[in-house]
Amino acid sequence: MTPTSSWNVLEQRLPSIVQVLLIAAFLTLIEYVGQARLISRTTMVPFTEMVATLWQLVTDGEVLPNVFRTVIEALGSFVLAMSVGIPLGFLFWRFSGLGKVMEPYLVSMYAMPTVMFYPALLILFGLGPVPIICIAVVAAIVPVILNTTLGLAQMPEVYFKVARTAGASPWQTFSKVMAPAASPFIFTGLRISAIYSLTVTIGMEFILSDQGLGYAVRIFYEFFSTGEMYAYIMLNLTIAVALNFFLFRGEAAMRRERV
Amino acid sequence: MKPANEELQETLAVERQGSIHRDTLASLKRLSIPAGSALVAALAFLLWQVASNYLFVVAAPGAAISVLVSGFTQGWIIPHAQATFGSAMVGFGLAILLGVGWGIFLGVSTFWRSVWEPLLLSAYAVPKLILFPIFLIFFGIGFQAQVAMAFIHAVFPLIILTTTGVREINPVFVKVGRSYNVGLADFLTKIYLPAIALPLVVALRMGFSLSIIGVVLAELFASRMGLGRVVMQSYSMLNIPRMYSVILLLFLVAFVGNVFLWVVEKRLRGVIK
Repeated sequence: MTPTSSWNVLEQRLPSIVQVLLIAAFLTLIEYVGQARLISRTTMVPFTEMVATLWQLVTDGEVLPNVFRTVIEALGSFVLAMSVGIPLGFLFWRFSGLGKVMEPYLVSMYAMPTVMFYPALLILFGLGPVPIICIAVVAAIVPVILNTTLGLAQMPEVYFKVARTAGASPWQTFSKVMAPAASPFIFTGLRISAIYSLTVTIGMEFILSDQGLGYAVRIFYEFFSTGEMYAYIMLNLTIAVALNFFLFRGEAAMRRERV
Repeated sequence: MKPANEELQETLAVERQGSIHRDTLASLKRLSIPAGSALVAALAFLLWQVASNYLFVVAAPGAAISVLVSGFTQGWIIPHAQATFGSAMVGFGLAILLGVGWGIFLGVSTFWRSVWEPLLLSAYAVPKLILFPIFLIFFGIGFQAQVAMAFIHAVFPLIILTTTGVREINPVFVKVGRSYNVGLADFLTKIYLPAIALPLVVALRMGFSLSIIGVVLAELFASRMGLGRVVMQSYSMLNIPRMYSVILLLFLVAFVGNVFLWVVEKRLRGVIK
Protein backbone atom coordinates (compact mmCIF):
# COMPACT_ATOMS: atom_id res chain seq x y z
CA MET A 1 0.00 0.00 0.00
CA THR A 2 1.39 3.38 -0.96
CA PRO A 3 1.47 6.13 1.67
CA THR A 4 -1.11 8.12 -0.28
CA SER A 5 -3.68 5.32 -0.35
CA SER A 6 -3.31 4.55 3.36
CA TRP A 7 -3.73 8.25 4.02
CA ASN A 8 -6.92 8.16 1.92
CA VAL A 9 -8.22 5.22 3.93
CA LEU A 10 -7.52 7.12 7.14
CA GLU A 11 -9.27 10.17 5.74
CA GLN A 12 -12.32 8.07 4.86
CA ARG A 13 -12.44 6.46 8.28
CA LEU A 14 -11.75 9.66 10.18
CA PRO A 15 -15.41 10.63 10.77
CA SER A 16 -16.16 7.19 12.28
CA ILE A 17 -13.03 7.40 14.43
CA VAL A 18 -14.02 10.83 15.71
CA GLN A 19 -17.54 9.52 16.37
CA VAL A 20 -16.20 6.70 18.52
CA LEU A 21 -13.90 9.14 20.33
CA LEU A 22 -16.81 11.52 21.01
CA ILE A 23 -18.98 8.75 22.46
CA ALA A 24 -16.04 7.41 24.49
CA ALA A 25 -15.32 10.89 25.84
CA PHE A 26 -18.97 11.32 26.84
CA LEU A 27 -19.07 7.97 28.67
CA THR A 28 -15.73 8.70 30.34
CA LEU A 29 -17.10 12.02 31.54
CA ILE A 30 -20.12 10.30 33.10
CA GLU A 31 -17.81 7.72 34.68
CA TYR A 32 -15.42 10.36 36.03
CA VAL A 33 -18.14 12.65 37.39
CA GLY A 34 -19.66 9.66 39.20
CA GLN A 35 -16.40 8.17 40.49
CA ALA A 36 -14.98 11.47 41.68
CA ARG A 37 -18.26 12.16 43.52
CA LEU A 38 -18.61 15.52 41.80
CA ILE A 39 -22.33 14.87 42.00
CA SER A 40 -24.12 12.73 44.53
CA ARG A 41 -25.04 9.09 43.87
CA THR A 42 -28.72 9.98 44.08
CA THR A 43 -28.22 12.26 41.07
CA MET A 44 -26.16 10.03 38.80
CA VAL A 45 -24.13 6.84 39.06
CA PRO A 46 -20.90 6.10 37.13
CA PHE A 47 -21.29 4.51 33.70
CA THR A 48 -19.67 1.19 34.70
CA GLU A 49 -22.15 0.93 37.55
CA MET A 50 -25.06 1.46 35.13
CA VAL A 51 -23.76 -1.46 33.06
CA ALA A 52 -23.23 -3.64 36.15
CA THR A 53 -26.71 -2.83 37.48
CA LEU A 54 -28.24 -3.60 34.12
CA TRP A 55 -26.45 -6.95 34.02
CA GLN A 56 -27.67 -7.67 37.56
CA LEU A 57 -31.25 -6.86 36.52
CA VAL A 58 -30.96 -9.11 33.47
CA THR A 59 -29.65 -12.07 35.48
CA ASP A 60 -32.37 -11.51 38.09
CA GLY A 61 -34.92 -12.07 35.33
CA GLU A 62 -36.32 -8.60 35.94
CA VAL A 63 -35.73 -7.28 32.43
CA LEU A 64 -37.14 -10.00 30.21
CA PRO A 65 -40.86 -9.61 31.09
CA ASN A 66 -40.58 -5.86 30.53
CA VAL A 67 -38.88 -6.37 27.17
CA PHE A 68 -41.55 -8.90 26.24
CA ARG A 69 -44.38 -6.50 27.04
CA THR A 70 -42.80 -3.62 25.11
CA VAL A 71 -42.13 -5.85 22.11
CA ILE A 72 -45.76 -7.08 22.10
CA GLU A 73 -47.11 -3.53 22.15
CA ALA A 74 -44.64 -2.05 19.66
CA LEU A 75 -44.95 -5.00 17.28
CA GLY A 76 -48.74 -5.00 17.59
CA SER A 77 -49.02 -1.33 16.69
CA PHE A 78 -46.48 -1.68 13.88
CA VAL A 79 -48.32 -4.65 12.31
CA LEU A 80 -51.65 -2.81 12.61
CA ALA A 81 -50.19 0.38 11.12
CA MET A 82 -48.73 -1.62 8.24
CA SER A 83 -51.78 -3.71 7.45
CA VAL A 84 -54.18 -0.76 7.57
CA GLY A 85 -51.79 1.93 6.31
CA ILE A 86 -50.71 0.29 3.04
CA PRO A 87 -54.29 -0.31 1.78
CA LEU A 88 -55.26 3.23 2.85
CA GLY A 89 -52.24 4.65 1.03
CA PHE A 90 -53.27 2.68 -2.07
CA LEU A 91 -56.82 4.01 -1.73
CA PHE A 92 -55.61 7.63 -1.44
CA TRP A 93 -53.49 7.15 -4.55
CA ARG A 94 -56.21 5.42 -6.57
CA PHE A 95 -58.78 8.08 -5.68
CA SER A 96 -56.44 11.07 -5.65
CA GLY A 97 -59.27 13.48 -4.83
CA LEU A 98 -59.85 11.63 -1.57
CA GLY A 99 -56.08 11.65 -0.97
CA LYS A 100 -55.91 15.42 -1.42
CA VAL A 101 -58.89 15.94 0.88
CA MET A 102 -57.20 13.86 3.62
CA GLU A 103 -53.70 15.22 3.07
CA PRO A 104 -53.81 18.28 5.40
CA TYR A 105 -54.99 16.05 8.24
CA LEU A 106 -52.41 13.36 7.59
CA VAL A 107 -49.54 15.83 7.31
CA SER A 108 -50.51 17.71 10.49
CA MET A 109 -51.33 14.55 12.48
CA TYR A 110 -47.81 14.36 13.94
CA ALA A 111 -48.20 17.93 15.22
CA MET A 112 -51.31 17.13 17.26
CA PRO A 113 -50.95 16.04 20.89
CA THR A 114 -52.94 12.82 20.30
CA VAL A 115 -51.32 11.35 23.43
CA MET A 116 -53.79 13.40 25.44
CA PHE A 117 -56.42 10.77 24.65
CA TYR A 118 -54.40 8.18 26.55
CA PRO A 119 -56.23 8.75 29.88
CA ALA A 120 -59.61 8.41 28.14
CA LEU A 121 -58.44 5.15 26.55
CA LEU A 122 -57.25 3.96 29.96
CA ILE A 123 -60.77 4.43 31.32
CA LEU A 124 -62.20 2.60 28.34
CA PHE A 125 -59.82 -0.36 28.09
CA GLY A 126 -58.09 -0.45 31.47
CA LEU A 127 -54.38 -0.72 32.17
CA GLY A 128 -52.74 -2.95 29.57
CA PRO A 129 -51.43 -3.15 26.04
CA VAL A 130 -54.64 -2.01 24.25
CA PRO A 131 -54.64 1.74 25.05
CA ILE A 132 -50.91 1.92 24.32
CA ILE A 133 -51.34 0.21 20.97
CA CYS A 134 -54.19 2.63 20.11
CA ILE A 135 -52.00 5.70 20.66
CA ALA A 136 -48.95 4.16 18.96
CA VAL A 137 -50.95 3.13 15.87
CA VAL A 138 -52.16 6.69 15.29
CA ALA A 139 -48.54 7.89 15.20
CA ALA A 140 -47.18 4.90 13.27
CA ILE A 141 -49.80 4.74 10.52
CA VAL A 142 -49.18 8.22 9.08
CA PRO A 143 -45.74 7.58 7.52
CA VAL A 144 -47.02 4.30 6.05
CA ILE A 145 -49.99 5.98 4.35
CA LEU A 146 -47.98 8.98 3.09
CA ASN A 147 -45.12 6.87 1.76
CA THR A 148 -47.37 4.32 0.07
CA THR A 149 -49.23 7.11 -1.75
CA LEU A 150 -45.94 8.84 -2.60
CA GLY A 151 -44.38 5.59 -3.85
CA LEU A 152 -47.30 4.88 -6.17
CA ALA A 153 -47.62 8.51 -7.33
CA GLN A 154 -43.96 8.76 -8.34
CA MET A 155 -44.29 5.83 -10.82
CA PRO A 156 -43.88 7.02 -14.43
CA GLU A 157 -46.99 6.60 -16.59
CA VAL A 158 -44.85 4.52 -18.99
CA TYR A 159 -44.81 1.59 -16.55
CA PHE A 160 -48.57 1.21 -16.89
CA LYS A 161 -48.44 1.59 -20.66
CA VAL A 162 -45.81 -1.13 -20.94
CA ALA A 163 -47.84 -3.40 -18.67
CA ARG A 164 -50.92 -2.80 -20.82
CA THR A 165 -49.02 -3.43 -24.07
CA ALA A 166 -47.61 -6.64 -22.64
CA GLY A 167 -51.19 -7.69 -21.82
CA ALA A 168 -50.62 -7.93 -18.08
CA SER A 169 -53.62 -8.81 -15.93
CA PRO A 170 -54.54 -6.39 -13.11
CA TRP A 171 -52.92 -8.76 -10.60
CA GLN A 172 -49.74 -9.00 -12.70
CA THR A 173 -49.65 -5.20 -13.04
CA PHE A 174 -49.94 -4.96 -9.29
CA SER A 175 -47.42 -7.63 -8.30
CA LYS A 176 -44.87 -7.23 -11.10
CA VAL A 177 -44.99 -3.48 -11.75
CA MET A 178 -46.53 -1.48 -8.94
CA ALA A 179 -45.24 -3.38 -5.93
CA PRO A 180 -41.55 -3.36 -6.99
CA ALA A 181 -41.72 0.27 -8.14
CA ALA A 182 -43.26 1.56 -4.93
CA SER A 183 -41.56 -0.77 -2.44
CA PRO A 184 -38.50 1.40 -1.63
CA PHE A 185 -40.81 4.25 -0.63
CA ILE A 186 -43.08 1.93 1.33
CA PHE A 187 -40.09 0.44 3.12
CA THR A 188 -38.97 3.92 4.18
CA GLY A 189 -42.49 4.49 5.57
CA LEU A 190 -42.33 1.17 7.42
CA ARG A 191 -38.94 2.02 8.92
CA ILE A 192 -40.21 5.33 10.29
CA SER A 193 -43.39 3.59 11.43
CA ALA A 194 -41.41 0.97 13.36
CA ILE A 195 -39.41 3.68 15.14
CA TYR A 196 -42.60 5.56 16.03
CA SER A 197 -44.24 2.36 17.31
CA LEU A 198 -41.33 1.74 19.66
CA THR A 199 -40.84 5.29 20.93
CA VAL A 200 -44.53 6.01 21.48
CA THR A 201 -44.97 2.64 23.22
CA ILE A 202 -42.09 3.34 25.60
CA GLY A 203 -43.39 6.87 26.20
CA MET A 204 -46.91 5.70 27.07
CA GLU A 205 -45.55 2.97 29.34
CA PHE A 206 -43.54 5.64 31.07
CA ILE A 207 -46.61 7.80 31.70
CA LEU A 208 -48.86 5.04 33.00
CA SER A 209 -48.65 1.26 32.67
CA ASP A 210 -48.10 -1.86 34.74
CA GLN A 211 -45.18 -3.36 32.83
CA GLY A 212 -42.71 -2.58 30.08
CA LEU A 213 -39.37 -0.88 29.47
CA GLY A 214 -40.78 2.64 29.88
CA TYR A 215 -42.69 1.61 33.00
CA ALA A 216 -39.48 0.27 34.55
CA VAL A 217 -37.81 3.70 34.22
CA ARG A 218 -40.77 5.31 35.94
CA ILE A 219 -41.03 2.85 38.80
CA PHE A 220 -37.32 3.00 39.69
CA TYR A 221 -37.49 6.80 39.55
CA GLU A 222 -40.36 6.75 42.01
CA PHE A 223 -38.47 4.34 44.30
CA PHE A 224 -35.43 6.67 44.20
CA SER A 225 -33.42 3.70 42.85
CA THR A 226 -31.18 5.90 40.73
CA GLY A 227 -28.84 3.08 39.64
CA GLU A 228 -31.65 0.88 38.32
CA MET A 229 -33.33 3.89 36.68
CA TYR A 230 -30.18 4.80 34.75
CA ALA A 231 -29.66 1.16 33.82
CA TYR A 232 -33.14 1.02 32.28
CA ILE A 233 -32.77 4.41 30.55
CA MET A 234 -29.56 3.11 29.02
CA LEU A 235 -31.28 -0.08 27.89
CA ASN A 236 -34.15 1.89 26.32
CA LEU A 237 -31.81 4.19 24.43
CA THR A 238 -29.65 1.29 23.25
CA ILE A 239 -32.64 -0.64 21.93
CA ALA A 240 -34.01 2.41 20.05
CA VAL A 241 -30.63 3.29 18.54
CA ALA A 242 -29.98 -0.35 17.56
CA LEU A 243 -33.40 -0.69 15.90
CA ASN A 244 -32.85 2.55 14.01
CA PHE A 245 -29.36 1.44 12.91
CA PHE A 246 -30.44 -1.98 11.63
CA LEU A 247 -33.46 -0.60 9.80
CA PHE A 248 -31.21 1.94 8.05
CA ARG A 249 -28.81 -0.86 7.16
CA GLY A 250 -31.63 -3.06 5.89
CA GLU A 251 -32.99 -0.23 3.78
CA ALA A 252 -29.57 0.54 2.32
CA ALA A 253 -29.03 -3.15 1.51
CA MET A 254 -32.42 -3.30 -0.19
CA ARG A 255 -31.62 -0.24 -2.31
CA ARG A 256 -28.26 -1.73 -3.35
CA GLU A 257 -29.87 -5.01 -4.34
CA ARG A 258 -32.31 -3.23 -6.61
CA VAL A 259 -29.57 -1.30 -8.41
CA MET B 1 -24.49 7.12 0.00
CA LYS B 2 -25.07 8.45 3.49
CA PRO B 3 -28.43 7.46 4.87
CA ALA B 4 -30.13 10.81 5.01
CA ASN B 5 -33.14 11.10 7.22
CA GLU B 6 -35.82 10.36 4.67
CA GLU B 7 -38.58 11.26 7.02
CA LEU B 8 -37.47 14.86 7.38
CA GLN B 9 -36.25 15.08 3.80
CA GLU B 10 -39.58 13.77 2.70
CA THR B 11 -41.56 16.33 4.66
CA LEU B 12 -39.38 18.83 2.89
CA ALA B 13 -40.00 17.22 -0.50
CA VAL B 14 -43.74 17.20 0.09
CA GLU B 15 -43.63 20.87 1.09
CA ARG B 16 -41.58 21.81 -1.93
CA GLN B 17 -43.70 19.90 -4.37
CA GLY B 18 -46.79 21.36 -2.79
CA SER B 19 -48.59 18.05 -2.89
CA ILE B 20 -47.78 14.40 -3.19
CA HIS B 21 -50.11 14.08 -6.14
CA ARG B 22 -48.62 14.89 -9.49
CA ASP B 23 -51.76 14.96 -11.57
CA THR B 24 -53.24 18.41 -11.96
CA LEU B 25 -56.95 18.46 -11.43
CA ALA B 26 -59.39 20.72 -13.18
CA SER B 27 -60.01 24.10 -11.57
CA LEU B 28 -63.46 22.99 -10.46
CA LYS B 29 -61.94 20.01 -8.70
CA ARG B 30 -59.27 22.24 -7.18
CA LEU B 31 -61.98 24.25 -5.48
CA SER B 32 -63.64 21.09 -4.23
CA ILE B 33 -60.51 19.92 -2.35
CA PRO B 34 -60.68 22.51 0.48
CA ALA B 35 -64.44 21.99 0.53
CA GLY B 36 -63.84 18.25 0.92
CA SER B 37 -61.33 18.85 3.71
CA ALA B 38 -63.84 21.06 5.49
CA LEU B 39 -66.44 18.33 5.03
CA VAL B 40 -64.09 15.81 6.67
CA ALA B 41 -63.67 18.18 9.63
CA ALA B 42 -67.45 18.55 9.89
CA LEU B 43 -67.86 14.76 9.74
CA ALA B 44 -65.26 14.32 12.50
CA PHE B 45 -67.16 16.81 14.63
CA LEU B 46 -70.42 14.95 13.99
CA LEU B 47 -68.71 11.67 14.86
CA TRP B 48 -67.47 13.24 18.10
CA GLN B 49 -71.05 14.29 18.93
CA VAL B 50 -72.42 10.81 18.18
CA ALA B 51 -69.61 9.07 20.08
CA SER B 52 -70.30 11.23 23.13
CA ASN B 53 -73.86 9.86 23.22
CA TYR B 54 -72.67 6.26 23.43
CA LEU B 55 -69.32 6.41 25.25
CA PHE B 56 -69.11 7.92 28.71
CA VAL B 57 -65.38 8.58 28.26
CA VAL B 58 -66.18 10.99 25.44
CA ALA B 59 -67.50 14.40 26.53
CA ALA B 60 -70.02 16.12 24.25
CA PRO B 61 -68.45 18.84 22.08
CA GLY B 62 -70.81 21.45 23.52
CA ALA B 63 -69.88 20.51 27.09
CA ALA B 64 -66.15 20.62 26.31
CA ILE B 65 -66.46 24.03 24.63
CA SER B 66 -68.48 25.55 27.48
CA VAL B 67 -66.01 24.27 30.09
CA LEU B 68 -63.16 25.71 28.02
CA VAL B 69 -64.92 29.08 27.79
CA SER B 70 -65.60 29.05 31.53
CA GLY B 71 -61.92 28.21 32.06
CA PHE B 72 -61.04 31.55 30.52
CA THR B 73 -63.90 33.58 32.00
CA GLN B 74 -63.35 32.17 35.49
CA GLY B 75 -59.62 32.06 34.90
CA TRP B 76 -58.75 28.60 36.28
CA ILE B 77 -57.18 27.44 33.02
CA ILE B 78 -55.02 30.54 32.46
CA PRO B 79 -52.10 29.77 34.85
CA HIS B 80 -51.94 26.20 33.49
CA ALA B 81 -51.94 27.42 29.89
CA GLN B 82 -49.22 29.93 30.79
CA ALA B 83 -47.11 27.22 32.41
CA THR B 84 -47.42 24.87 29.42
CA PHE B 85 -47.02 27.34 26.55
CA GLY B 86 -44.49 29.46 28.46
CA SER B 87 -42.05 26.62 29.03
CA ALA B 88 -42.72 25.22 25.54
CA MET B 89 -41.88 28.54 23.90
CA VAL B 90 -38.75 29.14 26.00
CA GLY B 91 -37.52 25.62 25.17
CA PHE B 92 -38.44 26.16 21.52
CA GLY B 93 -36.55 29.47 21.47
CA LEU B 94 -33.42 27.87 22.92
CA ALA B 95 -33.76 25.02 20.40
CA ILE B 96 -33.93 27.55 17.54
CA LEU B 97 -30.77 29.31 18.75
CA LEU B 98 -28.76 26.13 19.13
CA GLY B 99 -30.39 24.21 16.27
CA VAL B 100 -29.98 26.86 13.60
CA GLY B 101 -26.45 27.76 14.74
CA TRP B 102 -25.27 24.20 14.83
CA GLY B 103 -27.17 23.37 11.65
CA ILE B 104 -25.40 26.15 9.73
CA PHE B 105 -22.04 24.98 11.08
CA LEU B 106 -22.70 21.36 10.05
CA GLY B 107 -24.03 22.47 6.68
CA VAL B 108 -20.79 24.33 5.94
CA SER B 109 -18.33 21.79 7.31
CA THR B 110 -18.38 18.49 5.39
CA PHE B 111 -16.16 16.76 7.93
CA TRP B 112 -18.17 17.63 11.04
CA ARG B 113 -21.37 16.89 9.18
CA SER B 114 -20.26 13.32 8.50
CA VAL B 115 -19.23 12.99 12.14
CA TRP B 116 -22.45 14.33 13.63
CA GLU B 117 -25.13 13.27 11.17
CA PRO B 118 -25.46 9.61 12.30
CA LEU B 119 -25.39 10.66 15.96
CA LEU B 120 -28.10 13.28 15.42
CA LEU B 121 -30.31 10.90 13.44
CA SER B 122 -30.01 8.31 16.23
CA ALA B 123 -30.82 10.95 18.84
CA TYR B 124 -33.89 11.92 16.84
CA ALA B 125 -35.17 8.30 16.90
CA VAL B 126 -34.82 7.86 20.66
CA PRO B 127 -37.78 7.99 23.11
CA LYS B 128 -36.90 11.33 24.70
CA LEU B 129 -39.64 11.22 27.30
CA ILE B 130 -37.75 8.67 29.42
CA LEU B 131 -34.95 11.23 29.87
CA PHE B 132 -37.40 13.34 31.86
CA PRO B 133 -36.51 11.79 35.26
CA ILE B 134 -32.91 12.86 34.68
CA PHE B 135 -34.08 16.45 34.13
CA LEU B 136 -36.27 16.16 37.22
CA ILE B 137 -33.30 15.00 39.29
CA PHE B 138 -31.09 17.83 38.03
CA PHE B 139 -33.62 20.69 37.89
CA GLY B 140 -36.41 19.60 40.22
CA ILE B 141 -40.09 19.59 39.28
CA GLY B 142 -41.08 22.79 37.51
CA PHE B 143 -40.28 25.30 34.81
CA GLN B 144 -36.67 24.33 34.05
CA ALA B 145 -37.35 20.62 33.63
CA GLN B 146 -40.25 21.39 31.27
CA VAL B 147 -38.09 23.79 29.26
CA ALA B 148 -35.44 21.07 28.94
CA MET B 149 -38.12 18.69 27.68
CA ALA B 150 -39.38 21.16 25.05
CA PHE B 151 -35.79 21.86 24.01
CA ILE B 152 -34.78 18.24 23.54
CA HIS B 153 -37.90 17.45 21.52
CA ALA B 154 -37.50 20.41 19.16
CA VAL B 155 -33.74 20.71 18.69
CA PHE B 156 -32.92 17.65 16.56
CA PRO B 157 -35.28 18.33 13.63
CA LEU B 158 -34.07 21.95 13.69
CA ILE B 159 -30.41 20.92 13.41
CA ILE B 160 -31.05 18.26 10.78
CA LEU B 161 -33.25 20.42 8.53
CA THR B 162 -31.02 23.50 8.80
CA THR B 163 -28.02 21.35 7.87
CA THR B 164 -29.88 20.05 4.83
CA GLY B 165 -30.88 23.57 3.82
CA VAL B 166 -27.34 24.91 4.03
CA ARG B 167 -25.87 21.90 2.22
CA GLU B 168 -28.28 22.31 -0.66
CA ILE B 169 -27.44 25.96 -1.26
CA ASN B 170 -26.58 26.66 -4.86
CA PRO B 171 -22.74 26.90 -4.85
CA VAL B 172 -22.96 29.69 -7.41
CA PHE B 173 -24.51 31.97 -4.76
CA VAL B 174 -21.56 31.33 -2.48
CA LYS B 175 -19.07 31.90 -5.31
CA VAL B 176 -20.73 35.18 -6.28
CA GLY B 177 -20.62 36.25 -2.62
CA ARG B 178 -16.92 35.37 -2.43
CA SER B 179 -16.03 37.22 -5.61
CA TYR B 180 -17.80 40.33 -4.33
CA ASN B 181 -15.90 40.00 -1.03
CA VAL B 182 -19.08 39.95 1.02
CA GLY B 183 -18.58 40.19 4.80
CA LEU B 184 -19.64 37.41 7.18
CA ALA B 185 -22.76 39.26 8.42
CA ASP B 186 -23.98 39.89 4.88
CA PHE B 187 -23.05 36.33 3.91
CA LEU B 188 -25.33 34.99 6.61
CA THR B 189 -28.25 37.40 6.17
CA LYS B 190 -28.21 37.94 2.41
CA ILE B 191 -27.05 34.56 1.08
CA TYR B 192 -27.56 31.78 3.62
CA LEU B 193 -30.77 32.95 5.28
CA PRO B 194 -32.86 33.44 2.12
CA ALA B 195 -31.55 30.14 0.72
CA ILE B 196 -32.48 28.13 3.80
CA ALA B 197 -35.68 30.06 4.57
CA LEU B 198 -37.99 27.29 3.37
CA PRO B 199 -36.39 24.32 5.19
CA LEU B 200 -36.10 26.61 8.20
CA VAL B 201 -39.83 27.29 8.27
CA VAL B 202 -40.53 23.55 7.92
CA ALA B 203 -38.16 22.98 10.84
CA LEU B 204 -39.85 25.71 12.87
CA ARG B 205 -43.23 24.13 12.23
CA MET B 206 -42.01 20.74 13.43
CA GLY B 207 -40.16 22.27 16.37
CA PHE B 208 -43.18 24.30 17.48
CA SER B 209 -45.46 21.26 17.62
CA LEU B 210 -42.84 18.97 19.12
CA SER B 211 -41.96 21.42 21.90
CA ILE B 212 -45.61 21.61 22.97
CA ILE B 213 -46.00 17.82 22.79
CA GLY B 214 -42.77 17.39 24.78
CA VAL B 215 -43.96 19.66 27.58
CA VAL B 216 -47.44 18.14 27.74
CA LEU B 217 -46.01 14.60 27.86
CA ALA B 218 -43.74 15.63 30.70
CA GLU B 219 -46.69 17.20 32.52
CA LEU B 220 -48.64 13.96 32.26
CA PHE B 221 -45.75 12.36 34.15
CA ALA B 222 -44.95 14.89 36.85
CA SER B 223 -45.63 18.60 37.29
CA ARG B 224 -47.20 21.10 39.63
CA MET B 225 -48.85 23.17 36.91
CA GLY B 226 -49.77 22.83 33.28
CA LEU B 227 -52.40 21.55 30.89
CA GLY B 228 -51.04 17.98 30.95
CA ARG B 229 -51.44 17.96 34.71
CA VAL B 230 -55.05 19.19 34.42
CA VAL B 231 -55.80 16.30 32.03
CA MET B 232 -54.24 13.78 34.42
CA GLN B 233 -56.14 15.26 37.39
CA SER B 234 -59.42 15.25 35.47
CA TYR B 235 -58.72 11.62 34.58
CA SER B 236 -58.25 10.60 38.20
CA MET B 237 -61.38 12.55 39.24
CA LEU B 238 -63.29 11.31 36.17
CA ASN B 239 -64.08 14.89 35.20
CA ILE B 240 -64.49 14.05 31.51
CA PRO B 241 -65.75 17.43 30.20
CA ARG B 242 -62.81 19.24 31.77
CA MET B 243 -60.40 16.68 30.30
CA TYR B 244 -61.80 17.32 26.82
CA SER B 245 -61.83 21.09 27.24
CA VAL B 246 -58.06 21.00 27.81
CA ILE B 247 -57.49 18.57 24.93
CA LEU B 248 -59.53 20.90 22.72
CA LEU B 249 -57.41 23.89 23.71
CA LEU B 250 -54.18 21.99 23.01
CA PHE B 251 -55.42 20.82 19.62
CA LEU B 252 -56.55 24.34 18.72
CA VAL B 253 -53.20 25.90 19.60
CA ALA B 254 -51.21 23.16 17.83
CA PHE B 255 -53.47 23.43 14.79
CA VAL B 256 -53.45 27.24 14.56
CA GLY B 257 -49.67 27.40 15.02
CA ASN B 258 -49.20 24.72 12.41
CA VAL B 259 -51.50 26.37 9.88
CA PHE B 260 -49.90 29.78 10.45
CA LEU B 261 -46.41 28.45 9.69
CA TRP B 262 -47.85 26.52 6.78
CA VAL B 263 -49.18 29.76 5.26
CA VAL B 264 -45.77 31.38 5.77
CA GLU B 265 -44.25 28.40 3.99
CA LYS B 266 -46.61 28.71 1.02
CA ARG B 267 -45.88 32.45 0.75
CA LEU B 268 -42.16 31.71 0.78
CA ARG B 269 -42.56 29.09 -1.90
CA GLY B 270 -44.37 31.69 -4.00
CA VAL B 271 -41.56 34.21 -3.45
CA ILE B 272 -38.87 31.66 -4.30
CA LYS B 273 -40.60 30.62 -7.50
